[in-house]
Amino acid sequence: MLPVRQPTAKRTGQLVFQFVRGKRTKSKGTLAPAIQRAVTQLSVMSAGRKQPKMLKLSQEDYIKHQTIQTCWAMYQKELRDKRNEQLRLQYKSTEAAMELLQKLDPELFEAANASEAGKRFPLELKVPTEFPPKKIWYYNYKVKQE
Amino acid sequence: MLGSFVSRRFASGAAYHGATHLSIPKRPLKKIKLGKARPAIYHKFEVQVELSDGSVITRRSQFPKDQIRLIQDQRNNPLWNESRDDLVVVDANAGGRLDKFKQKYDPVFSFEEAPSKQPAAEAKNQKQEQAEDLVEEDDFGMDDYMALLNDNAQQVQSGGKLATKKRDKK
Amino acid sequence: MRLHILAHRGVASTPQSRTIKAGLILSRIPIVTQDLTSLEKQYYDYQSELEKRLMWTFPQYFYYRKGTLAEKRFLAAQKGPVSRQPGVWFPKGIPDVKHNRERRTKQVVNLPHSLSNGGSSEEGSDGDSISRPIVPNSRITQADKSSDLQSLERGLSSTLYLLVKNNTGQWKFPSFPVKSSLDSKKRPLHATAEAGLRDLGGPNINTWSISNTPAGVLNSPEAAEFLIKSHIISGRFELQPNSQYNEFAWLTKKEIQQRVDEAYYQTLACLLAGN
Repeated sequence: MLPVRQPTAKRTGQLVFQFVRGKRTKSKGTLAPAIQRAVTQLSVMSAGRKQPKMLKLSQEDYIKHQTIQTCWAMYQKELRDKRNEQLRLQYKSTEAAMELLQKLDPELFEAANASEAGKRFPLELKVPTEFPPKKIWYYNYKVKQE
Repeated sequence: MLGSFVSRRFASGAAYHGATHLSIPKRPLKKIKLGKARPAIYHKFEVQVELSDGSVITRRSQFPKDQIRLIQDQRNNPLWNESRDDLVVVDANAGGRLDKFKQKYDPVFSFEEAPSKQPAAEAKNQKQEQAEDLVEEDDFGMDDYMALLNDNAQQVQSGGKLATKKRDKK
Repeated sequence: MRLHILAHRGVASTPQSRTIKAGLILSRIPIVTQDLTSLEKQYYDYQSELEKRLMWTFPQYFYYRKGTLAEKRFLAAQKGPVSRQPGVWFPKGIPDVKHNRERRTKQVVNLPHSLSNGGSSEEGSDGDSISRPIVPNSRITQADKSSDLQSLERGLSSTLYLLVKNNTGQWKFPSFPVKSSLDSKKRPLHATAEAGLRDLGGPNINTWSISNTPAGVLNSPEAAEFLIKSHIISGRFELQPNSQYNEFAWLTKKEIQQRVDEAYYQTLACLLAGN
């Protein structure tokens, strides 16, 4: 807004034939300084000035990009399928074990099938980080006597 | 009376305290054509964050800093490391404003010195205190919240008839 | 599983001569993130470059107040863009600068480091200074270099499993026969496995059993070995003398495949994590 207005003001300045002391050179429509400041701040903060240029890919680049994305999607699908397959096998393995246990020893089967409500994941197992800690493993664990 | 209250609420809602009202001249709105809208992708820096045990993760942040060191986090908190006894627990807020305040005023507010009443008054109030104790036992205290973090805490499985859907009568 | 109980209640259980054993798959979870494959690495690089290209200009005026020392230091570290001049030929295209940023490319923001570097060089020997630069530890440890299979600090990016070698020289997961406790009640499988581990590797070991339910079974005519999964949290596994095994190792899935026989591996492969 501001940069557009300045040249017109200049032009009107040039148009003034005779310079009269005390006469306002700017047009009457200029904003009050407080409002002008707000307008300038808004225009500085506006997204349009901070955005980079639009990414325009040529036909070749676009095909390349699409190839990369397809490749990644296929790779992810492979991983997903592998994981699902492993989960399926794990379920089958557990099922087979439980069925055999039921045949062999119903008492142990009952114990293995007992409800585990309230069991919690231990807080001490940590999420993997990018680089290891200084002390990688805590060896001096002692059983607490109660 | 209610009407006046409502109108006052509205009047106060027009401009918050301390704001000077500026009426900026309206400009023609810039139309964003279909498919031309662009998401706001703010500038982000890659930050290396060192946790308190020396492990490092990389994350992105808008703050202009590329290395951050944490001195108090899960990795040295006794709550997350029950079995460890080699932890150096650092209080990140030591020397802060809250700490200074506590140092200055803790003796004033501590409950150890509170029951310094005269014996006669104490005897008079004994019955009342007992009643208060009973009330305290009933309350769900801070210790109960801590107990929720224990290993053997159990989730409430069936709380009776809670939020059952009623079928409409026809 | 619940339904099976009800379904099979009526069937009389025939007493079998097979012994029941509780096997233990004790794992150490990875400590550092997975190593990226070349495809993953390239794709992540591509995506991050794309994002950098599309990021908005860094709002410098928001983070550095005008006229402060920090702002001066920040501005001194920046390499300004080439501005547009009339009548000049630009080999890389006409610059399009807004907010001190070349809009056609990604913005490179250099963060000032002079202060922290100067501080650390002065202190030098003080390793505990809070403002020392971050130097990450190596992902490859001493145990990796010396290929110490008995250390828990090896192979940080993969899951390790405890394997033991019996007297016939076969590598196996440890297994323990189920015993009856005092009141003629049989100990559940997971309790047997945990207790057996303490007998085998010393008491000072902190583990967490995933479930009471066995994850798999190794079936043979003379014995049925039910496998219980568990994680080691802390502590040390030290093979106790006069046990039935004479060696132990912490191995990844690939290393297990090299050591155990094919049929044994095939039944277990689905239970082990690949990385």
